Amino acid sequence: MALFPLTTCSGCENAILDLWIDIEETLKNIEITYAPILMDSEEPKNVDVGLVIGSIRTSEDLNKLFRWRDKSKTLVAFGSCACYGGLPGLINNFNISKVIIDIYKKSIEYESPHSLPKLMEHIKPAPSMVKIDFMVPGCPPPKMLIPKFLNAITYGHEFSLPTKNLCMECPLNTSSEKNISEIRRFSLNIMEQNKCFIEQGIICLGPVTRCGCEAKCIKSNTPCRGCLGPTLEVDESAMKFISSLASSLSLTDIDIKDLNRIKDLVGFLYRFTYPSSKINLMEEKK
Amino acid sequence: MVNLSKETIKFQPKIIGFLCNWCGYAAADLAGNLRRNYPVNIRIIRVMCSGRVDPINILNAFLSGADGVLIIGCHPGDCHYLNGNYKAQRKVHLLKQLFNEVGFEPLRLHIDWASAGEGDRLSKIIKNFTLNILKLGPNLMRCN
Repeated sequence: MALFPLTTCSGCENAILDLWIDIEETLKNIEITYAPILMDSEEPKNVDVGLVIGSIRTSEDLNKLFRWRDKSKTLVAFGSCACYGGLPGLINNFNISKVIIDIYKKSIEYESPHSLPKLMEHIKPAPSMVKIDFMVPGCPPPKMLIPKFLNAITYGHEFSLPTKNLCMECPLNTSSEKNISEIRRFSLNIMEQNKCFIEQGIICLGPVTRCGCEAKCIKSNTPCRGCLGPTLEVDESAMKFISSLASSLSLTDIDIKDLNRIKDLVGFLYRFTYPSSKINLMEEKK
Repeated sequence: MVNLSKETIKFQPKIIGFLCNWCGYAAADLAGNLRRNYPVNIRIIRVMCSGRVDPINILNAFLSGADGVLIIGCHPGDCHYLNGNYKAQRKVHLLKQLFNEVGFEPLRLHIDWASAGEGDRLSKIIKNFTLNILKLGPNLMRCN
């Protein structure tokens, strides 16, 4: 097995390392031949299982991805960056050259032979560039999912991601009718304990997010951000969420202009999945 | 009376109209009976309630090349299903906010109300919306 990092924060690799004790048995049957975070080694000629981690930000990332697809019998997109584009994908909403000039006050020079690899104009998710055999989403993939997955590929079991949404695992799920009377920003001061976030008017993406993490964020008093991405059958989960939110608002207490209080809809609805979304295709060519 | 025929104007906007069965669509029928003219650029889709229109339908319409999407529901308080039109209004508002953030012109999406007896009003709404879309130009976004 190899851990193939692209442009990554190393959170996914750390998630595997964190589980070292738990997956000790499984690891006895796995030989990690390449993992830049763990060891200095040359790229292997081929591997049985390659875990692609991170998003495709530069042309070098793309070349690596093509090369590693050829070297791996099974290629796995590990983590939301590899599966959907991830958090860095939010920059697809802007022109990357303008962003560079904004930050560094001058553009990147690509002419010299020792220069940096070229930035891709848009981050595209790995499944859209090469054939991916498995997807293990999450930012990072939850510790309940990783051992299941590693056992599956080691011993040849069937592996499939859970198909239900997070509300199925959520301890705050009361199955009661939602009637939101005020849209509120998430803050530890004004929250009611043991009450569904959406009922309190706090945006929680649980209804449109795949389960599998046993609602660990909810259990830490934080609304879901949707890091495991959408469930399989839904076309565009953000649209479903808009529909669900709009239909759950109180008729008497909420006015249309209250909706303007939600400042960053793209960030809320597409935090981890923007590059793989349909709305990312919307770009009026000027 | 603006001449929107193919001879005078090259860009013919494609407008998708979601008209609710009880009010909007009935108004369109009445407009026809009264011979109230409105531009033929609109493709009318009958839905039982404006609240049935899912944001994904609107997004898919724009991704397929529609230049404008118009939703006509019952007047607030008059919805055949009590509050479907309110839900539609809120969905459209959130969607327009989202379009604004991604750089897509939110004016291409419009929701309005017309009761079953307002054939005249409906033809005016459609006419004005078509002219607005004409001003905005074609939808240049491509769908993969």
